[in-house]
Amino acid sequence: MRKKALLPAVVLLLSFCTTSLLVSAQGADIGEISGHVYDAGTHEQLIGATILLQPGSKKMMSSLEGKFSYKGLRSGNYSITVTSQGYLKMDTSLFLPAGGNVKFDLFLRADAAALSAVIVTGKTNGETDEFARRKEQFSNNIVNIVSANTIAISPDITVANVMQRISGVSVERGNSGDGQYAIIRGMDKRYNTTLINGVKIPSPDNKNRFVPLDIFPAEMMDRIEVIKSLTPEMEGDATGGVMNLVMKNAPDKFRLEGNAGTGYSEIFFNRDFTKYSSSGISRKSPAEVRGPGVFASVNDFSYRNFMTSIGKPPLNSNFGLTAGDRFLGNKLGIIVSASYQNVYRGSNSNVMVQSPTGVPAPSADGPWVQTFSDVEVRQYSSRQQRLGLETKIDYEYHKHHSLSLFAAYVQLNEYRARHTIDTLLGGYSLNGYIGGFAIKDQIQTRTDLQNIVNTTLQGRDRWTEKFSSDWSLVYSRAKRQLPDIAEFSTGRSINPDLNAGTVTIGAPTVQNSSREWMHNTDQDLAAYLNLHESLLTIGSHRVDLSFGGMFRHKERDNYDNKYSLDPLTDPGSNYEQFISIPDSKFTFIPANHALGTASENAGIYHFNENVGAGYGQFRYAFSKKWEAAGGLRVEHTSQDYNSSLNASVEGKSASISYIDYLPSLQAKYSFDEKKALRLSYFKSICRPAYADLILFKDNSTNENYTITGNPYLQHTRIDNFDLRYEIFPRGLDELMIGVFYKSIKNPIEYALSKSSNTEQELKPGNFGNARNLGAELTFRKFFGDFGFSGNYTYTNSAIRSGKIKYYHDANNGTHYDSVAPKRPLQGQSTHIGNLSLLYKNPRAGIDAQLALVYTGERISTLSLYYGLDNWETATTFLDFSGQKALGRHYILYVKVNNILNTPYKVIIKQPNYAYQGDNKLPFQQSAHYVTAEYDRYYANYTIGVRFKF
Amino acid sequence: MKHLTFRFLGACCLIYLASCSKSDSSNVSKPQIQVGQLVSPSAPLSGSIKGTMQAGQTYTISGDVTINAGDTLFIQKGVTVNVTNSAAVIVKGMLVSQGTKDAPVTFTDPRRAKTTGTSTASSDSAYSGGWTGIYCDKTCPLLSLKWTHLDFAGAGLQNIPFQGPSTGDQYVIYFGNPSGYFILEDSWIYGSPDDAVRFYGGKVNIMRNTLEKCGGTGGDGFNAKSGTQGNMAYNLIIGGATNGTKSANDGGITPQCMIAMYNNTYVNDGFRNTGTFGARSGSIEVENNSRALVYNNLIVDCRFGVRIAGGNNVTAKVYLADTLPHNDGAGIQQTAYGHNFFYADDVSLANQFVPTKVAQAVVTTPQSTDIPNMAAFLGASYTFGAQYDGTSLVGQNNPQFVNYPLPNMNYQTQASVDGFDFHLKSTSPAVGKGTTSFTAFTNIVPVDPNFGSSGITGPGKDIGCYQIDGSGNQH
Repeated sequence: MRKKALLPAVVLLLSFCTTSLLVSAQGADIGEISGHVYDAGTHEQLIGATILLQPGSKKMMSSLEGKFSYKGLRSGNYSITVTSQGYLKMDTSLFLPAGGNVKFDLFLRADAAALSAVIVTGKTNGETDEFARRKEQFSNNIVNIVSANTIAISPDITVANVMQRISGVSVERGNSGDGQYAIIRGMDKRYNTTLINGVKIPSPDNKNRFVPLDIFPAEMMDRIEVIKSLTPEMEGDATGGVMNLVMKNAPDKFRLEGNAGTGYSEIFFNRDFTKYSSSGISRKSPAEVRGPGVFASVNDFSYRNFMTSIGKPPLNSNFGLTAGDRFLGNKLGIIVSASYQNVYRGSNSNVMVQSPTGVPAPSADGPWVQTFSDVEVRQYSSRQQRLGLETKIDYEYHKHHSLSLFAAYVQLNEYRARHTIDTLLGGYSLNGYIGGFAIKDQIQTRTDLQNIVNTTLQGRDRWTEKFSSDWSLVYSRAKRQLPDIAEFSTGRSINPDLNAGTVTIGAPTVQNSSREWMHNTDQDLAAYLNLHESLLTIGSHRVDLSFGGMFRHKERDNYDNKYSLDPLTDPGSNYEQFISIPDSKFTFIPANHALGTASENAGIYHFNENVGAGYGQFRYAFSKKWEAAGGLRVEHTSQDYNSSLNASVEGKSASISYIDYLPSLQAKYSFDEKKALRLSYFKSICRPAYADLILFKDNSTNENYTITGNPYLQHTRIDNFDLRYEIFPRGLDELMIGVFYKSIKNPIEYALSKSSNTEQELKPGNFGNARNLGAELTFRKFFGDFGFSGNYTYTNSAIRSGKIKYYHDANNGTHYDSVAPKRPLQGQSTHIGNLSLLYKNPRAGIDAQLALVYTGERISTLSLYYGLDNWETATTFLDFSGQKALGRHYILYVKVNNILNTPYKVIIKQPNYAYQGDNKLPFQQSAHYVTAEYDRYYANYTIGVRFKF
Repeated sequence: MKHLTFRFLGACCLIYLASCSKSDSSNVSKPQIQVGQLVSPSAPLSGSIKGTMQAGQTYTISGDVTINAGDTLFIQKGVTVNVTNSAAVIVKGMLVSQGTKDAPVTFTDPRRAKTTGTSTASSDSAYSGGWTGIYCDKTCPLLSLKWTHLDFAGAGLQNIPFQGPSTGDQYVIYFGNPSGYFILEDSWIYGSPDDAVRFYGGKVNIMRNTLEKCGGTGGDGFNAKSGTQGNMAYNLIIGGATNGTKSANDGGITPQCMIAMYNNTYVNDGFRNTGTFGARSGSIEVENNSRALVYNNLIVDCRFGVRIAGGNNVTAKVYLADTLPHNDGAGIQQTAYGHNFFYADDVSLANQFVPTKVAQAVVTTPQSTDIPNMAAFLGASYTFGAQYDGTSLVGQNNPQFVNYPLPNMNYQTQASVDGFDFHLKSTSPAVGKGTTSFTAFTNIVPVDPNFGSSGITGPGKDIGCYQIDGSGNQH
């Protein structure tokens, strides 16, 4: 009867909106039960929840609006059971009076600890009630949840693409056009953390802590949660939010489901796909094979990497299979899930390469000028293979004690060929356009192998009525290999005759070739322990206390080795004429470039990080109207690294440690059942990524600039304030308004700076203190089978950071003034919005969704010079998905992404001298700004069948 | 009496002129000075090093050596330093190499031998970097190299010695102290894969040197960045990949880059910058807000003449030289040039005596004092960077070297002096065409027999590095 004890809690969730008596036209005895099903956390309508009515075993699914209704019922007692994938089952009973019409709404709770690092073992293990209480305990956090159902009917195939549909979230795209990283509430990706089942996972990324979200196939997810306010039991390094990827759990009874799909990218209707064979690629660089200090031979570098062929790519394929069941009287649950995607993507890119040299402005007021040295026209052809394997075993060996083991392996292998036509721009113009003096044709092939292994053993124990605990032991390893990033170029001179208006192009010659090997491994060992105590009861009030701690030991190994090969000149000539790739010969100039860069390379390092934390937190419900939760977390960080740099170089190694006290306080005030106010304060931190600290000049991450580190970076400390007001005016309509304020000490941003060798490089820095102020709005409105929902976030962040104003004064004096103009944080859009148009026709078994994502303009790269920051312009992405049920077990689905073929565009907001007149540059669009990059990805189509038994 | 007086005055004048012309042959031995302990030549050297390398001895450096901050390594005349294992010389303190005309100092890689004739980047070991080179940190107050051979340096830097250079850098000399003195006089640099000398600042006197085969597939002879001021004069630069002398204010370090480039002889430069098909190469380049004085230079069969970089607000790898007039008391008040002498054996080179804007915007104004008179040749209507037909200039104004027959169609691959002699015959049209009416940097470095310049040679009246009166380059 534990469930009965929980009724007060359920009552909070189960609000009877209206109970009215109506006289049925068909007779006084016939009545109706109807209502809606919502997510308790987000108040989002739940589509496709199963509503079972007893007696009579009548079953129906909730509609697009989350609605259900049973008509023609005789009066009497009925019980209703509501189940929905990813949610806790809910039972309730009611009495239907004669001729009555009972309407009510049901709020289902997500099936896991949304905010704790605890995984709950199944939903039928008799601890559901306790679990529900735990959930309730933290219900005053600010959380967004995307359910498995929503993912299934969304147009998305990777987690990153799902993310962009969440309020306050925007994504950064990779060069295939897929989302990779989330920016939450204007906070750059580094301020957000990724958890799998509540446990932090390491990143295979060679630069960052944040995990590339496109590595995860969306269909492995049971649910995705974005938690925007931290409680003390959560790790303190998430400021924008925590993305918790909750993998599928063992179901109550045998379940087999899966999908098979295929697809194509529109870009390959227009052009061919470039492929290469990765089979002959050496996983290790010559220095690793031959040993340190031994010269590589030019024969160690196979030309086969450059042997590409073009043609239409095969169809994409997409398979998933999940099987789960419970055994031993439901005490043992096992689920196994596998998914595989093989996708061919492409993009066309146009880049103006920005010259590092500043141009003096004619006065202190500008206008500021960015000049360009090259135009690069690039075609990317990328084959992405995603593999996900997951299993979860939960075992309830005693009524109050359970164990679970979770293991997952996710892999993303990308085989990318990049073809670049690089025109070196000259100082002349022909037919109004700036002409080139040389043209280079470059092929780069890059094999990028990433995977993450995560094994988590968790236990939950209930010791007494009031005291319970849970623990986790975690081993994770993230690995990335980039074996032999290989570039081969030919070059031709361009010789214009300006008087005749003609050009002659020289014969192709072999140009420098580069080969680079990188690999990195992150390995985490972590332990978590949480103790929970229901301390005392004051009347109907109860105080719950939790204490706990965690410890994580992380080791990262990073390796980098790069070779540059020079063409072997023809006898008596300074050039090597190009005949074919296999005929091209190379040499090393100077000879010891055959050692590569491995002998001394800041990119070869070992990094240790130990994070230990302890916390205490309380939850106190003063009344039905007031609830509060809060506490203090203390995190100690100690890091050390050692790179293979010379000991005489500053920054070869470092040890860093710091301690942070992270208070948190959350409160919720319910005006009535329809209106509530949530308040929260928490302090969070952001640790620099490992590579941020290390003076490693890396060319692999950014396509245009070298990236290096800064050992003097400070970690960031942030005070976060949130206020959210929710109204549910009537029916399904909903309005939520929130405001947030973040005060950020020492944010970390990447800015272009001059390296000592006259090139520009991207370097992280602390650019003072920033503030981030924003408002969020979520709304929903329905008309019959149609509905639309949306959200909008306004963010206003500001920071002052140093720039150089380079100009001449009236007396021809040259000035390099240091100024600190105000600007938004890098990556932060003032306006982010999502709008979805939904259609559901349950009679025909059709679901459809047209989803629009708007991301306002934002700074993509900071310039060293005043006025020359690079802005990514506003984008509007439109995606469509639709599905039709075929019988009870099959669903046919169609997804179309990027219908509008939205470009990725980077601009510099200064007068554009290259738009009109004699010195025009390609793909310029305005006299008022300069277009520095213009990329297109084209639409992607997916079609497939899902099945469920 | 009048005759006597006249004769006496005439004799006085002759004596006076003779003493002025520095061609006296008296050779009185200077005292050898010693700093600290003698360095022993008996064992190969590596690690920290200081003291004195004794005259005439042969030393081996078998691993990177470092002259620590505050320490000095003094190399007496006639020392040979064999550098093996691609070692580097790291200078955080002071390095003085005091060779003499009769007993020069030599740094070399003993595995390598000089070759003559045709030289290309991958056929000639001059470009393959035998030893690493000399890398001077911000703490180096003085690098002074006199009568010193630096042969076969520029191996890729393997051990980054201090903040600044990167792994794989391939210079003969890297100088990184804007407030330090760098004196390179009467010396030779033979072979380098990239720039022979890269200056990230410094007060410099780069005078009377010979550079051969510098830059493999790119790289300048003397490449000065921001923070660098001084003279580059009386140098013979033959077979350089890109430019012979260059000034660029890259990096924004104060003071602004200002270089007086005068009386240099540039031969066969600018043909191995293959990545850009020689587009940014040539002889003299002034760019990126630097100021320069460019006078009395003899430019023979080089890819480009004097290039003063311009800007069009749209494209540029490099940008606009500082050509504005100033009144700021700096060593050079305004970029100026003239009295430069061009000779070409091919129309493609003659077409670039005044560089065109094909590769980049230029603001070189044709000068009437140049030989040939480019102002007259191009006419008053000429605009910066316009293409012109230089066919009629090919083979004109042969500078009449003592022993280097012109025309010479091997200009793309003849990259060393070999047995040639680039002194001018007295009948040369370059003789007496120089100007002495500008002032170079006269006090930029201290003049001192041991710890300073052995003499800042002012402008010479004959164009090029060799003066008929025997002054100028002494090689």
